Amino acid sequence: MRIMIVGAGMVGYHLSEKLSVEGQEVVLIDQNEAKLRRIERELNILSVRGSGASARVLEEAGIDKTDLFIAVTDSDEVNLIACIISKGYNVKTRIARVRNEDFYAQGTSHAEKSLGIDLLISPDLAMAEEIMHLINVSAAFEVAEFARGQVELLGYLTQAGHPCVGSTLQDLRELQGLYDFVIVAITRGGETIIPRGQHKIEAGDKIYLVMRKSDVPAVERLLFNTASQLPKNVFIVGGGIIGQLVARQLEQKRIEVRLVEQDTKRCEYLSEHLEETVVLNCDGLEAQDLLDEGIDQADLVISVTNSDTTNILSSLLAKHHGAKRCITHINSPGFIPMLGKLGIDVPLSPRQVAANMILRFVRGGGRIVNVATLMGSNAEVIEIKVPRRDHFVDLPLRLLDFPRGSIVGAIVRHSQVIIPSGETKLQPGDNLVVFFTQKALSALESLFAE
Amino acid sequence: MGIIKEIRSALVLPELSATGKKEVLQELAAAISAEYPSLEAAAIHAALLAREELGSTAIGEGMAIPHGKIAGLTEIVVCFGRSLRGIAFDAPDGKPTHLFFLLVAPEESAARYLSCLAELSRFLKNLPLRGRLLQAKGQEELLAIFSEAG
Repeated sequence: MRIMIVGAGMVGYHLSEKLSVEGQEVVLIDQNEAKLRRIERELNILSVRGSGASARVLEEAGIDKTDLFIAVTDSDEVNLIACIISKGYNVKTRIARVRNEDFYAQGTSHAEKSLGIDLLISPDLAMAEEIMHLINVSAAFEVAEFARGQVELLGYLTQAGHPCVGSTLQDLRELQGLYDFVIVAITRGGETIIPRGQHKIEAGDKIYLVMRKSDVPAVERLLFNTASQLPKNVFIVGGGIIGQLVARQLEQKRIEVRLVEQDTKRCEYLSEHLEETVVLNCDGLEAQDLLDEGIDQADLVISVTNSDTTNILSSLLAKHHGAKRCITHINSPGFIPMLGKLGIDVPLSPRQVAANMILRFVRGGGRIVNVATLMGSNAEVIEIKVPRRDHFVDLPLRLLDFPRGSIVGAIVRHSQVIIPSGETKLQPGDNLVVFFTQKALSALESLFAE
Repeated sequence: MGIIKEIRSALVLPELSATGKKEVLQELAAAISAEYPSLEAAAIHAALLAREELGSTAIGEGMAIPHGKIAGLTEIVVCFGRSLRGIAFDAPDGKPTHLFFLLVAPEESAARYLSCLAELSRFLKNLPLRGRLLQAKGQEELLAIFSEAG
C-alpha cells in the first residue's frame, strides 16, 4: 500500500516509523528539509520537500498512486486543504488532524462527510478519551482495548506487598480456569521481555496482562489486592480543552472535581460552562496554593497544561504529599521512559495517543485489526486474523512456531473471547491478540503471511 | 508447597448436605469455624461470597475453588467438600459442581496465597486424581489421596 503523510512532526514521524517497518511504501512531505534528511537517514521512506497544501507538490510526490493520505501538520488549515486537494485524485482513505474545536466539535460527521475526510482526529479529544478510559480501569497505568472492548490489555506497576510479587509465571499459569489471564510482558529496568514459565515477578516490574474485561476486578484483587473503583475526588491542573472535556465527563459520573487554571479569563469561561466543578484561578507551579486547595487529598491528579514542566512538577508534588495517582500530559515523548522512576504513574503523550488512533483506523481494513504501542517500551500489540492455512489448524498453540518475543494473549472466536493456554487450538478466522517486541515483528509477519 | 498434604481430617467432608451455592459455602465455613474457634463462620462466609460476586470460582467439570482473605487469620486453611449429587455453582460449563476445595488466607498473605491456589488448581486438573476423589468411599480414603499429593 502506498501511504502519503503530510507533516514530519511527532505524529508524522511516529506513523512513518510504524508503517514503514511494516513494509508499507511511505512518502513523507514537509517544508523543513533538515528534518526530512534526518528522518530519511533513520527510516526507509521517500521524502518530498514542500507544502502539503500545494497540488504541484502532491503530484510530484505521486498522489495519483496513493491509497492512504494522512495530513498531520501543525496547521489545521493545511491539513484540511491538503485533504480537499487529494479528493481530485484516486486516494481511497483520507485522514486529517485538527486541533481547533470549531472544525470538529458540533456535527463532526457532517464536517467529515462534506470535506470527504474519513477520519478527523483531534489530539485533545483523543487525549480526553484516553484519560477517561484510564480512569474507568483505575489500578492500571496503561490500557488498550481489543475485540470491540471485550478484551483488555492492562499495564500495572507492581509494588512490594502485592500478592503477585515473588510468584513465578508458571504458578500463575496454573490458575488458568480459576483466573483467566495471560501475562504477556514484563518491563524491568527499561527492558521489555516476553516472559516464560520460570520468570519471577519482582517489585517495581511493570507487568502487562491480557484478560476479559469482565474478569478485571477479580484478577486485580488477586494479584494486587485492590479492586478498581472510580476515584471520588479528582484534581485537574490545566483548564485547556482536555481539562474541560475531562471535567465535564467526570461531573456526569458524579465525581468531585477541582480544576486549576492560571488564566483568569479562561477560568470565567470554565465556571460558566462547567456545572459542579470547582474552578480555581491559580498557577500550577504554586506548590502552596495547590496544597491549600487539597491536591494532596485527591484520589487522582490529572496534569494537562501545555507545559511539560508544570505537568511533571505538579504531579510530583501531588504524589509526594500523598495523592493516590496521577495522569500526566507529556509533550516530549523522550522524557517518558524515566518518569516512572520519578513516581509518575501514567505519562501520556497526546501525539502518541493520536498516532495510535490513526494506526488503529488504518489497519482496521486488513488482516491486522487493531494495534497499540505501549508507552515507553519497544513492544506492540496487534489484533490479527488467523489465515486459512492448514498449519494453524488442529495444532495446540505451544506447537505453533510463534517467534521468540511474541505471545498470544487472547483469541476471539465468533465474538467469544478465549484466554489461551499452550493447549488451545486455533481455527481459521480467529482473531488473535498478539503481543510482541520489535525484534519479533518480521518473523511474526512471515508466520501470518497468506 | 504441600498445602493439600496438610489438610486436617475434620476439614474433609465426604458428603455435603447443602444443595445450593450459598448453603454450601455456609456449610464449609461452619466446618472451618468449628476447627478454628477464633474465626466466625459468618466472616468466612462473607469473604467467600464477596469473591463469588466478582465471578464464580467454579472452574467447570464439576470443580470449584472458593477462596478469600480474612482478617485475623494467621495461617492458610484448606477445606475439602464433596457433593455426589452436585450443586449448581454458576460453573462456566453449566454443569453441577461436585468437588469443592476451599481456601482461606490471612489478609496480608501474598505470593504464598497464589502458590497455594495454584497447587489446588493443579491438583484438580489431574484427571485420574479427580476420578479417585469422586469414587473414594469416605473420609479416610480421601485423606489417603491427599497425603499422596506433592
